[in-house]
Amino acid sequence: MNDMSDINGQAAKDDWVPTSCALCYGSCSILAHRVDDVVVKIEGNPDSAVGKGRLCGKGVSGIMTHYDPNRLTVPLRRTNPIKGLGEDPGWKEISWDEALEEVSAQLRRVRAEDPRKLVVQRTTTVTASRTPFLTFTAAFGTPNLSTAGGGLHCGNGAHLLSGLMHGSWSVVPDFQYCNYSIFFGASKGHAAGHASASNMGMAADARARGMKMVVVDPMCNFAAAKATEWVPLRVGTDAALALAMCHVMVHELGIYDSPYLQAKTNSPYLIGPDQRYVRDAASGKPQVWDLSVGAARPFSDAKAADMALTGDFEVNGVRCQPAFELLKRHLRKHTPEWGEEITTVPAADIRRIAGEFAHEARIGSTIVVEGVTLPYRPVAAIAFRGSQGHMNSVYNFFAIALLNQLVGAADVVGSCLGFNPASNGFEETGRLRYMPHADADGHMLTGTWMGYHLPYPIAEPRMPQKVGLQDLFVLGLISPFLDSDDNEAMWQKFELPYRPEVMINFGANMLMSIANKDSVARSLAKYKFMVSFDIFLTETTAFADIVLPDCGHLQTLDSRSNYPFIFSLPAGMGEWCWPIRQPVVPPGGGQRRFQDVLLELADRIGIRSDLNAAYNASMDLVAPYRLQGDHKYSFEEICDAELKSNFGPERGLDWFKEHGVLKWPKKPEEVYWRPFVDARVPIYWEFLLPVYEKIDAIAAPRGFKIPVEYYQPLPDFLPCLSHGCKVPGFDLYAFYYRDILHTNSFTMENPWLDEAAQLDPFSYTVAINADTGRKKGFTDGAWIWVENEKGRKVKGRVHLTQTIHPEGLGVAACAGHWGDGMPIAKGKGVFFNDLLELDWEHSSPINLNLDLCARVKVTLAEEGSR
Amino acid sequence: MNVRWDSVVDCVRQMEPEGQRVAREPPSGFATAGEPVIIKVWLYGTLASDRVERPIQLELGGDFTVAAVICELGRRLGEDFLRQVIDAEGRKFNQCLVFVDGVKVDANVMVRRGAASVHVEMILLPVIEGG
Repeated sequence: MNDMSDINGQAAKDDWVPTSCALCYGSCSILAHRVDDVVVKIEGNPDSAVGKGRLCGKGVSGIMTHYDPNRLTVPLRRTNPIKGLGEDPGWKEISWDEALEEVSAQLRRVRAEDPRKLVVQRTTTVTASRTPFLTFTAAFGTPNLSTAGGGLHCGNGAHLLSGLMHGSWSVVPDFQYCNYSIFFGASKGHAAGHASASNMGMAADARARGMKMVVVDPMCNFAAAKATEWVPLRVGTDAALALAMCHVMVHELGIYDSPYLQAKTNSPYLIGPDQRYVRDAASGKPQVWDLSVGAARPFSDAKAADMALTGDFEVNGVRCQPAFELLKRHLRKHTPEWGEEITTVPAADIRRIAGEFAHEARIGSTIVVEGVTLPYRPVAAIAFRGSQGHMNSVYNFFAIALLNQLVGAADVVGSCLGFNPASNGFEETGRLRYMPHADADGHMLTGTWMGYHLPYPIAEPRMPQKVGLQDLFVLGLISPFLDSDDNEAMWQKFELPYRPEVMINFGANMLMSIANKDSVARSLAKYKFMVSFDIFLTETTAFADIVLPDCGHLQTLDSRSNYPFIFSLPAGMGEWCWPIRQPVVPPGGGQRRFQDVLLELADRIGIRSDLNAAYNASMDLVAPYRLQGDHKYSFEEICDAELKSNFGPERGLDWFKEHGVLKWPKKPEEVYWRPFVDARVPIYWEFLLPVYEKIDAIAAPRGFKIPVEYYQPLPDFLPCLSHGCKVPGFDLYAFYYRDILHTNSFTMENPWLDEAAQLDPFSYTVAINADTGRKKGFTDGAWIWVENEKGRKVKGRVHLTQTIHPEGLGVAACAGHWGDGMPIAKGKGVFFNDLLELDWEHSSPINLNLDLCARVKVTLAEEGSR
Repeated sequence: MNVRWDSVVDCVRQMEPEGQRVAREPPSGFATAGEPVIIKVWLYGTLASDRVERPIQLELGGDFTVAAVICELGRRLGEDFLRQVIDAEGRKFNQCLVFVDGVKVDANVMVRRGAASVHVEMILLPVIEGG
């Protein structure tokens, strides 16, 4: 053991502090080694189920982010009133009192005029920001809360489908028992993301055990590099591949789990010629054809085993079919040959992989886990950021989800699992219990969610009150219209009764994370006032009026670093785990925790009682821990209230600071909840039709046509705009992909991560297929221009590799900083998002997903000019 | 052996009743026999305004649900209030959270009868999450 005594022989103060990382939203549990109030090392916390003692390179590098001399330490006020790209803000240091007085004055004004004029935006990286900003926004009275690029690029499709089909925020293979996994544009367990470090260990164990891993991705990077098989496909065509596989399973192999489909999906529900459920006149319930009596009955009155899945029937003179019959017919055209044409994946491979998946599903088998007999389906098809980064993301995910549904591989042993959709809660207090359940139609409702825009039932479309228009486009989560080129036109068309004037930004570098910087800059410059909490001066803070120096993850407090459990607690058997985030070192200079600043702002503008009520509501605090009236609780007291409310009077903040985590064992009935809950998931989206009609009823009279093909009840392949490009020379599909070394645009400033990225041949380069590149006359390392159809260009060094589809052009991460506030990051890597257009035309008409692939041409930089 | 899904475990039907819809007009026979209940309603955030006292005091007779409380609030505060709380079909929005005596409840929950006063809190939380 090292002698940490100082030169006088006095023992150093030396301890390890349990807390949580925040270099990505995985929020893995860490131990920070503190010697004489200096953090000297960061490791994973082996006591926690979150990370299980493991930590990626980002996490251990957190020490360098914390001690970065470029960090903000005092509040700043711009003196140059002009906002724009390349404008020097003319920062002047001011006191906190001066800063907060000005911010308060703006907030008071806006609140008096119309609180909806306030837009609150936060980064998804810092999970500690979720509840404080949610509560402040609620207390203030604005509906406009957004999560910038981290939200817009990474979730509108994934979370909708994961919620609809699995009651959770995201999905992952049951690594402990899965034998065959297919990753569609996903890197769970191989790069960052939900429960990342825990998943890495479980995925490695699964591979060592023999789990076959097939990665479908235009890029062979972190996941595919570890895979048994990499299947390169044309960018944005995941739905076509998945549908072709479904065709094979249903029509060529005849392999599907009929009992599962009968009992756990809406497959037997009768559908009429109007594409709607044939409902029982008396009860209003969807009907099924009961084979035992040869008649239609409400679904709740028939045994699952007697429900017809196929056939033609007549009910009260109306011809109808079970939803599964319609799915079967729909799948007829999706042959492997059809799939090959669209995806470039050979038909023979499509058949082979579909067959492997279907056979390994072991339909009908069971297994005993901790004494409980459960269905056993050791296959899983998962999807995430890759599949969801397109206009067609909803159908990409729907088609992939069907693979699991057809074989019953959903939330049972070995299958595709949601992240903890069901919990019996903490036994000692009875708190934290939640369970998926059914509505009157038998459809599954989530037991819990991250927000209140539930994946189902779909909200009623109405004239929008939100700047993002999500109350009209009700399947959208995060919207491009906060910053799009056509947002004013959209707001006028849909009669938005106000305009955003003030922004509170927390840590989001939206100028880099959303789309091309020109469009975002134009939008940002329109705000009358912007205050930004950050730890560095970024490209976005250059548009702020006031910048507030925030504390980093080693300085902050958070009573719920991994809650809700559907977000970043590992799925599968193991332990429930509740870690916290606690300060290891104090604030430096004039840094203040954003949570404390929000409380002070609430007091200054007179909304403390509303804020207390919002904390009571969002944390579901119970007596005697509910916050009272307008009492000025500190953030420590609020955290203490939550912890005691959930875990009892003995386990408040002090207990958690000492112990770090609280754990209790998961039960098989919680992890593999599907057989125990009488609820059905939709393999036919009957609910989509009335949603379309209501949106169209609002949009059409205003001259705005919503394409109906995005709102059909069965998935299809809908091409992205890039697929339709016929301009000569624009022959590559550009996309960006997750870099395990980096999170969003934030970690390029970290010198350890930057050093590793410079050693890595992919991190800061433009990857093109080696054969494709050589045909274009490129040599490895040459500078090239990448240009989209609208003339937007980015420049970077090319890396020629066999590990990318011949038509692909891949850029890692969100790099290419140009600002001076992060000097390590400046000039490193390629700013891919500058190729992205930001308007309705490039957004999904169903879930507002921005189209993140672009058709590009590439030229040697010596030839190109700007 | 093909094992049926619904025979692997005893699956108890746990369908929850659909949240009670809120009538836009008060139900007839509103003040039924029984002692009136004093309800103090605290509205927060966007539901509150300078023109609305806090708490709002209501008096309702007989058995009634939270939906009835919302209906009565709508009668007092108008369409602007109701539009934020219920949809066109009369269903309470998910993001509108209601607490009765500190306990989160759905619209169909019965508020206890009696002369004791009841403390109701209502707040809208932001709808959207992402990432």
